[in-house]
Amino acid sequence: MLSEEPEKNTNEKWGIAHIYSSYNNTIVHLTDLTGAETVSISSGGMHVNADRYESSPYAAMKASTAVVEVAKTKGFTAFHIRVRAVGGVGSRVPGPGAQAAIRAIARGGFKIGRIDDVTPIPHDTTRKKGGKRGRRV
Amino acid sequence: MARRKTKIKDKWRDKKWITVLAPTSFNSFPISYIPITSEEHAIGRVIEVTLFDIVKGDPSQHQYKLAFQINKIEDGTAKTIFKRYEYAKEYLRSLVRRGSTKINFICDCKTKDGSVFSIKIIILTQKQINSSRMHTLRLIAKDVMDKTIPNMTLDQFVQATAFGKINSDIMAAAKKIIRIRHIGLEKVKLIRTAEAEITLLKA
Repeated sequence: MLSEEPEKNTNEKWGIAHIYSSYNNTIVHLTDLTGAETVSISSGGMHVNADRYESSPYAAMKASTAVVEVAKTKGFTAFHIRVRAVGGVGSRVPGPGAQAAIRAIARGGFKIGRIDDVTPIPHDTTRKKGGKRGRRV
Repeated sequence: MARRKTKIKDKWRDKKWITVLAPTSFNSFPISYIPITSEEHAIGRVIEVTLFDIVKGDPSQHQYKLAFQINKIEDGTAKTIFKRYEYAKEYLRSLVRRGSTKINFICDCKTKDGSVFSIKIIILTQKQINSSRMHTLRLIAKDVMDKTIPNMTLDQFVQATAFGKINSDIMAAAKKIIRIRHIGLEKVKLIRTAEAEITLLKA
């Protein structure tokens, strides 16, 4: 049942790209396979000035390319991708920056492994903030 | 700012790259290559892979995720223990559909050498069924697991989980009750290793 000859993939340095994409910002965080060692981290807000552009695809792309440069110097060759939306009581759909961030990582010349959605989805839910009558603007 | 940058680079240069091996039940297959600063800090880290990554069998094995925890590091290689087995989120979603009953059942089981696992069974039927049948199916699952798992060693148990031996046993027994679409182990978690169990029993 098990393959007998173990392949030596010592030259391949795999990592995980954690992409947290909300409607307010996009955070791209590259780690090793355990998730314990950070390779590099950047966010949309670090590359644009206006608050409303933090979650934009352009900012996400900028963040990704910044992170990709560092990962290249550290010798990483491939990444698994974990996309995350806010989850919980918040939105379960990744924000506008997620796709741009993934594309920028792929464009950076890395091999892409699995793309997982790791949005935390509760089995029950706590009450959404804003009260019974909703947020009154 | 410039000073901080050099500091970060130095830290990374100190790191040692080690190969992580799967447990002996998977022929100590090299699963990954990770950077570590010190060996003490690396112990306890968890690595998640799909069954396909290790076995390289058919593509359906992408749907099962395995997690291994590092417990020992010896001359550049890390040994791991089996930590968790679960269905991929998308796979579970594709299984559940309207008009059929989903039955969950969670129980703790102990292997021959004393490791305790929490097992979550998922049963999906062809049609909606009544609660007495659901009850019987749960009893059957419990019965089969109580008979088989205490006779297995840790390696046998891990293999049986990963390659669907346990659920085919339950399937064979449950077929007599009603037609079943799917039986599987949705999640298997390590609660206590054999050593932890022994110390707990002594205390």
